[in-house]
Amino acid sequence: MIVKKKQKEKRLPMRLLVQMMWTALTNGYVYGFFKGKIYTGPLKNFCVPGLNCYSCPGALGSCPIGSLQAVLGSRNYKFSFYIVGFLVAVGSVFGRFVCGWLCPFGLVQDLLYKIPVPLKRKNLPGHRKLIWVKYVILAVFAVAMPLLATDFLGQGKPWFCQYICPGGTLFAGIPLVLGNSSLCSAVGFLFRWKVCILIVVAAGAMVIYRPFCKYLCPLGAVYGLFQPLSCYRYRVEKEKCTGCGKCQRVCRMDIRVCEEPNSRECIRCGDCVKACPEQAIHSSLSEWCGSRRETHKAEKNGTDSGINNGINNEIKKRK
Amino acid sequence: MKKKFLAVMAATAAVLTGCSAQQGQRETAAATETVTETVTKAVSEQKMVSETQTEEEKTAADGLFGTFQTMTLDGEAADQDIFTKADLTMVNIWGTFCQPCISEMPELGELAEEYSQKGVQLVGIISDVKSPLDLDATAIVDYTGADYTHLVLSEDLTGGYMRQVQVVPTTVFLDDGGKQIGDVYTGARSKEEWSAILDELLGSLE
Amino acid sequence: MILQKNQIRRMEKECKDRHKVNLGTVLLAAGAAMMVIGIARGEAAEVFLKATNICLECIGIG
Repeated sequence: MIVKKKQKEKRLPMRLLVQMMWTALTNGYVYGFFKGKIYTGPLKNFCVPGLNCYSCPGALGSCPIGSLQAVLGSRNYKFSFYIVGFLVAVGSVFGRFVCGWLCPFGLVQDLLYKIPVPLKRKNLPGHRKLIWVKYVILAVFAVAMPLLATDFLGQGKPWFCQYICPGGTLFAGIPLVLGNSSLCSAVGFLFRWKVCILIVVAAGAMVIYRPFCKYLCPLGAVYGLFQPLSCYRYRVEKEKCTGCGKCQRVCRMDIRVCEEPNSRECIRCGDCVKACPEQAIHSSLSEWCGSRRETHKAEKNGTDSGINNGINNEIKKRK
Repeated sequence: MKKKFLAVMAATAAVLTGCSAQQGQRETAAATETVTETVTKAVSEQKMVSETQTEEEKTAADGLFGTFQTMTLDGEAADQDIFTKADLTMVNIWGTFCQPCISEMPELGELAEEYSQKGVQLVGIISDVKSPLDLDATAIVDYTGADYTHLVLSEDLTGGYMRQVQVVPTTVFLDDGGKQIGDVYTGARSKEEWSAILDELLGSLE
Repeated sequence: MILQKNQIRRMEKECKDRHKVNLGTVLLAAGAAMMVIGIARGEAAEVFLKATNICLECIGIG
C-alpha cells in the first residue's frame, strides 16, 4: 500500500493533467500569440465552460461571462436565452466541476499556490462573509451595469471584463499588448488598473488557495447555485462517517464535506474523497461506474441483470 | 503620378508594337505612331489642366485599401479614389457596437471641420455595417455630429486591408494616393492627441 | 444477508437522490431549449461579433 501511494505521488495528478490539456485545447490558436491577433473563425460562436477571455490570442471559443455581458450590453437584447441556457445546462450537469477541472484561470491559481512562500493560509479573515462578494460582482458588474448603464442607443459596456477580470488581463490584455505594437500606444490608466488587480490576485493566490474563485468569480457564483442539484455530485455514506473532520482539514475551499457534500463553494477537486479514512465520500460518477461494474458482473454470472440475483448466487455459494 | 501614366502608356505602346510586329512593318509603324500621338496628346492635356483638377488623373488603386467599390452611409457610390480628394485622409474604422468608438466621434466631427481647410479629410469605415442608410449607424452619426463621409463594408473592402483589422477603433492616415503614412493607431484618443498627430503628419507632407 | 441489507439501504438512498438527478435532467433540457431559442434570436451572432472584434476598452486596454 505504501509503495503504491509513493508511485501515485510521482505521477502528475489526473486533475492537473485534465486542466492543462483542456486549457491547451481551448486556447490552441498558437499563431495568435506570435502575431498579436485573435482567432476569428466560427468556433467563436460557441462558449467554453470556464473563464476564458475571447480576446485571448489563443482562444478558440468565447467566455460565458464575457458573452453574457456582450448580449446584455447589446442594443438588441435585454436578456440572453443563449448564455443563460448555456450556464443552466453546464451548471445542472457539472456544477463547479468546471471550476476545478476546466477553468484556465483556476489552473493558474492552482499553480501559483504551489509556489513556496513563507505564509500560507487557507482563507482570508472574514471568509464566511467574503464568499458572498462574488454574487454581488455577478449581479452588479456582469448583469446590472451592462443592462442599465447604457448610451443613447441602449448599448452597455461589459463592466466586469472592462474593469475587473484578471483572467482577461492575463490571457488577453498582456499578450495582445506585447504581441501587437500598435496596441502598446493604446495603453493607459485602465490597463494599469487592471494589471494592478491581476498582481494583487496573483500574489493573493500564492498565499491563499484560489482567492479569485472563492471571493470574486461571477462564473463560479453561477455554477455554485446549481451545486445542490447537479448531476455530478458527492454523497457521504452516513454509516461510515465517523465525524473525524479530516475532509474539512484537507479541503482547501474549507468545506465540512461530511455535512455539506454539495456546498456552493466546492470545486470538486476530490481531495476529500481521497483523504477520507473510511472512504465514505463518493462522487456520482464513481458510483455510477461502480453500479455498472456490478451489473456487468451479474450478467457475466449467466443470470438476468440485477443486484439481487447476484446476491442470491453469493448466498448459494456460501451454502 | 504623371510619370506612372507615361510609363503605362509606354508599356502599352511596347505591347502594341510587339503584337503588331507579325503584321508587317507598315502596320507596326502606324501603331507606334498612333500610340505616340496618344501619349503626346495626353501629356499636353495634363499640361493644360490646373492643379486643382488633378484628382481626375489621380488614383489610389495601389494604396493601403487597394481597389474597391462600396457605398457611403448616405447611399452614394464610393471607390478608392475617395482618398485622392485631400492631401491627408484620416481613416477611422469604427463599429456601431463599440462604445469607445462612439464616444470619440463628436471630437472627430470637430476635427473634420477644423482641418478641412488644411487639406485634411476624415473618412469613417463602419466595420459591422454592410448596407447603406443603416438606421443605427445613421443615428450614431447624427447624434455625435460626426457628419463626414462614412463607408459601409463591401466584399472588396473586407477582402483587403480590413481583413487585418481586428481592433476597433483603428485609425490610419493616408496620403492623396491612398498610401499609408505614419503609424496605425488603435484605441480612442482625445481631440488634442489627434490634433498633435495630424499637425505632425501635415508637417511631414510638406 | 448483511450484504443484502446494505444493498437495499443504498438503493433507498439512490431513490431519494434520484429526484435531485431528475431535476438536474430537467434543468439540462431547459438549458438546451433556451440555447436554441437564443441562437434563433441571433444572440450567437452577437457573441460572434463581439468575440471577433476587439473593442480595446472592453477588454481593459485603454
